[in-house]
Amino acid sequence: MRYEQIGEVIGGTPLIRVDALLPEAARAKGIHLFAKVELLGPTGSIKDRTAKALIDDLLFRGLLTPGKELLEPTSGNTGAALAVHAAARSIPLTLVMPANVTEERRAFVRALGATIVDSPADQGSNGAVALARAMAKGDTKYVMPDQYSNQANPKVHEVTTAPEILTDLPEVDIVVAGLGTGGTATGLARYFAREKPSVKIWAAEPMPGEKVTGLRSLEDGFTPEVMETELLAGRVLVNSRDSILAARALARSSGILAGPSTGATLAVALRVARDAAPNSNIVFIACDAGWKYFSAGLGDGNLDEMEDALEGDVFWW
Amino acid sequence: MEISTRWKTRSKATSSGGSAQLNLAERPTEITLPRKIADAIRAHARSEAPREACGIIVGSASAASGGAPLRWEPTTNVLASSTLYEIDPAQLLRISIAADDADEVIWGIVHSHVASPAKPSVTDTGVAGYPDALYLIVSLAQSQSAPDGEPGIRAWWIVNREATEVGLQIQE
Repeated sequence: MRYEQIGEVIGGTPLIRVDALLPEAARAKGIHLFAKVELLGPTGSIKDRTAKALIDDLLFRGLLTPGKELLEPTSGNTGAALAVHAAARSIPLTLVMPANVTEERRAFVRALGATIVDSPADQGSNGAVALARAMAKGDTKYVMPDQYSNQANPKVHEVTTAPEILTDLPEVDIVVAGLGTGGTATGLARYFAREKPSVKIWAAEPMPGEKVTGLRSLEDGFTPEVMETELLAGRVLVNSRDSILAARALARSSGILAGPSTGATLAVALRVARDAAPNSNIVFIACDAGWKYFSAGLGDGNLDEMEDALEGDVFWW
Repeated sequence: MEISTRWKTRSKATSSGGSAQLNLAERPTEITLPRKIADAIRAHARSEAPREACGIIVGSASAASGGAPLRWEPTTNVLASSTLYEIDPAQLLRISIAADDADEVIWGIVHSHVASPAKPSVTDTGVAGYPDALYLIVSLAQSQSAPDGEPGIRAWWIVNREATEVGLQIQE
């Protein structure tokens, strides 16, 4: 396959059957489980789609003109994906992240030419958001994509992720996605409400107060503007321990090495499978690659210690 | 829209996991295990030898908070080793979800030592990730047999990589 730039290598991800993870009772009912493997993109996460959509949107609306610079508060996958797209299109990028973000993550975006501005470590990701907003207010050269409020975020899933699922699996009955910005679940729900209304969209949400990296709990009182919860069939709360366990189980039984937010989504898919009608086809979004979490002990570390490591105040979105 | 209330009620304090564990001083100093479960553990250990065997005991509440053991779930040691064990993560996840749905918890984590005493090794304390669960080790070494000649079982709290033995009564 031939492309003009790496930012075009987005989407068209495979749907891989992982029935081995289903409980015996679900398999006996003819239920099938598929992973939508988003972790194969340039930065190994579904945010590759989001970053491309956000930049395309800013360019389309004429907000990102020569002399302007992208600015986003993120220590995670969105930052990495923005760094790839910005580099491929020669757009300057500044990422604001808490000072305690690991060197591993800083090195990744620095290698792609992004500038890093530190926000106070003790203020976590909220501090990064506040500092980025203050910077954007004080200097008109900065343009913030803002994945939490930008409708380009759910839109990209409505026009790419969702139709890919329906094309590859017309018999799909249930789709499970993680709740972070709400972009994936909302985009999927909008598409299926129109094209195949019988498809139920379930969302995986961390336990209140617990931090499954990349996801966040609405119960903690923060609802991103792009999220439309009324379109969902339901939300299931999942703890970080089960998320890590599920990611390990997926790796061991299917060879798909994914991160804890994928684990959370899988754990919810397994719960939904228990109550699903016979012969249901369930898809869950494998949103993030696992290699980013080795230093936190994803592969075989002590579960309790990894849970604590993930509950530090550094998020991966 | 439906929000799953069952999972909503679950917290680290009740799921025998996480760092919100009880102090050693607040835990039971003696634990009773039904003979039926002890026998099943010994049988599983024998059938898996010379590899280490492993499994889970599901309980009504965490062992640290005085919960009762309810049933034994043998699992696969994915390392298939005579000196190391790791419970198949897919089986552990399935048991966790089923226990959670039934308002039960992972009460005990069991493994066998093929030729050494029923004491946690440095590796055992290193991988112990359920601080509110009871760690049970069954030894197949002759010298470690119980008075009735059956393989000896000993019980431990493992918190922050430190093991503390707990009295274990096996009862009809």
